[in-house]
Amino acid sequence: MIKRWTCLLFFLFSCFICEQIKAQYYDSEVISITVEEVSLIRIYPATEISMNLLSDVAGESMAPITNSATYLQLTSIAPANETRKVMASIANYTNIPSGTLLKLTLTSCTTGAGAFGSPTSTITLNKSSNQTIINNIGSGYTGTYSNYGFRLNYSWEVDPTNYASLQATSAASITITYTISTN
Amino acid sequence: MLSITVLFTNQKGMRHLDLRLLFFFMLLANCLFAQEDYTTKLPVQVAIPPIAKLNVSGTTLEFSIIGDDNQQIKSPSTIGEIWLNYSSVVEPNTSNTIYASLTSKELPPEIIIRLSIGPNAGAGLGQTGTPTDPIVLTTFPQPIICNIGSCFTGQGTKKGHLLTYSWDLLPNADLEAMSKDELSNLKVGIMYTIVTNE
Repeated sequence: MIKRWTCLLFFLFSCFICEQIKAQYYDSEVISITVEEVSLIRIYPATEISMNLLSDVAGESMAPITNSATYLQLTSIAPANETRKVMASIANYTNIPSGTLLKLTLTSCTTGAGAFGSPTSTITLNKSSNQTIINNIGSGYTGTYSNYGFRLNYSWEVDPTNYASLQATSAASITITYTISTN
Repeated sequence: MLSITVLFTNQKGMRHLDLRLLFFFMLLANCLFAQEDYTTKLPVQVAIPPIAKLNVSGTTLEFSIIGDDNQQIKSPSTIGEIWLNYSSVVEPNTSNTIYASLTSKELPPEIIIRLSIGPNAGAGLGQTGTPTDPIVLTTFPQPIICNIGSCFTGQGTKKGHLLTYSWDLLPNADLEAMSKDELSNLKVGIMYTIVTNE
């Protein structure tokens, strides 16, 4: 009788141990590795840009004012078969002085690694809607040092078809918004 | 991140609920932090200072008196041309005007200089000015081109407005009263000024 009880207890104990072992084994299987999607952009250095339209020679047109002091840097990890793009827009574009055009040309990125995308041709920023400036971004990064990434070359110039509407302006503020999004 | 750590340490009991909560917090964190990085903004300040610049292009004009009797005055024709170039950017509700005046008083009172101003030659862009009728130059500045807005004329000869000078004698002028030296070495300065009308 005692032997029978001992067997039963042993059996129950074994079951319990097995359960424990099984549970522990199952717990370790839960561990999984995921690569999170990443899409980060920034302008570096993040300082305000200031431009004054001037003319030095009597009779000459106002020369374009250029600024190439800032770089667009990005880090992207895209899912398979997905590409991203960077777009630029100016919500308060009506603050751009009349008779002038603000143009933007990006220089190709030569730093970083991976599929950090390629710039489109020159765009005119005088609109609120998004315009693509970098295409075909997969998984890649541009680097974060100064002079790393896509150089942003702004050119502020007189609209030749609208010269007479030019007006002297002491200071106008505009904000350029850069957005990275999925195609 | 703090809440996520707490969930990990307390996961013995309600594991399923905790995992769901964890998932929710991860989503929330993703939305909160990732959204800011999707966009970046760059402030830009732009300014256009007013501009009013003018320049005279061309050669010095020479007038000669023909004949020993000093009876005829020849005005320059093909000797050279004088062109007035300017660049202008105006503030709202203002315009620029160009004035001309004599800076030298050596001119004998019997002789007057007439100035006529041609239309803009059309090399530039914008609101170039309107020339006035011909004027007789005096030491007092007189407008010659009015209503100049934001524009440029181009730089050099054949650009902007052609300025044509002519000499004239007053009806009762007596040239014989003047010595020949006096008449042959006259130099006259003419000043052009661009002024903003507020």
